[in-house]
Amino acid sequence: MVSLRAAALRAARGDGGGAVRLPPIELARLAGGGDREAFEELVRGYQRRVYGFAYQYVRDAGEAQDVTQEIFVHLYRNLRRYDAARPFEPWFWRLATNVCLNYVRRRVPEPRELPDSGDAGGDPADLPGESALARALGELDRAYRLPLILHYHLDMSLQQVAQTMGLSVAAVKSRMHRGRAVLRRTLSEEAG
Amino acid sequence: MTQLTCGQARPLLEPYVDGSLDGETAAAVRSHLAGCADCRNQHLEAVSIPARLRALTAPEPPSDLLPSVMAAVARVRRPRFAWGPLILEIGLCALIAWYLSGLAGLSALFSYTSGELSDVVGWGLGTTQLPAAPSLDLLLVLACLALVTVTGYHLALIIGATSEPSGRRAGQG
Ligand SMILES: [Zn+2]
Repeated sequence: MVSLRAAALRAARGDGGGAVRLPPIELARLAGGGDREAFEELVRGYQRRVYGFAYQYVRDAGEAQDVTQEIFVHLYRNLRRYDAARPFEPWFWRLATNVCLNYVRRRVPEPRELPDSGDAGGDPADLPGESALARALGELDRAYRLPLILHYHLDMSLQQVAQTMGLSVAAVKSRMHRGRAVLRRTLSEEAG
Repeated sequence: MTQLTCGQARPLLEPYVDGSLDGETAAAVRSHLAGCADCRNQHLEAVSIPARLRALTAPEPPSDLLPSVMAAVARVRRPRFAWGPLILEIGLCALIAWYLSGLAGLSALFSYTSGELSDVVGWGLGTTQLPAAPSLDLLLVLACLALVTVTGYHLALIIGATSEPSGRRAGQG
């Protein structure tokens, strides 16, 4: 049993046959039982998406790393409470979302101008090379920003977004429509 | 068919793009777009946004992310690291049980206890001196105290490790 698991872990890392890969739910179950190797595999599998999610949310590479680390530490602490009979992804992203929201709530707000002057290109918070859309997304109310990031950036289904946010699918759709409408207005104002 | 104003048509553009309007409303939006260049531009923008959101890129995670996560996790205390106190508890229980075990031990304990109780009563009445505590009983008392202390520490560890504040629901507000 243990050797099978070890073989699967080696294979998942690519130094074995490469055919066996433990699904996240199984890794989560093992990691919840204290298997550090399984936890490391879980982090390896999710780090890119978690970092991307954190980056879209906080729009700062250093802060995204802090948030990502916090999310995984939180995951480690809470894995024992994960019920492996339920799907892992919504549970995990719900946890990740909570950590991200709490992080943003805690941090000291940077002094920055609201882009009401119409000269958004001169906003001191602009990151070099950042697209107008990324900037507009970063300024969007988080009630709208979150479902857009979850659905479009993380490629979650509407059902998964709804489970993650504890909302109905209809409510998620409505938030996404409103969020996209705000983005559309912001972008067309900047263009025009 | 109802004629829509620009103000009525604009908030319908996103559901229109997604095809989630009923037939009649969708037809009203279509007819408004046919006659309004401004809203047609907004519609083009609305059509492009989902694909552009999908195409948003994030930088690669830094290469030290995994090691730093694992280092942070190694500092996290979880109850599975609380085996030390459990071993101490078992050892102390064994010591106490060994001390109290057997008829000789129990009867000795009983005679000690009753003898000491009568001594204490006699001391209270002023008829006897307060007896010195025998060393073996002191050992028992110390072992019991140690057991209580270790158990308390152990419980604090377990409570501390399991009472993480669970985050608020995402997306509220
Ligand atoms: Zn119009």
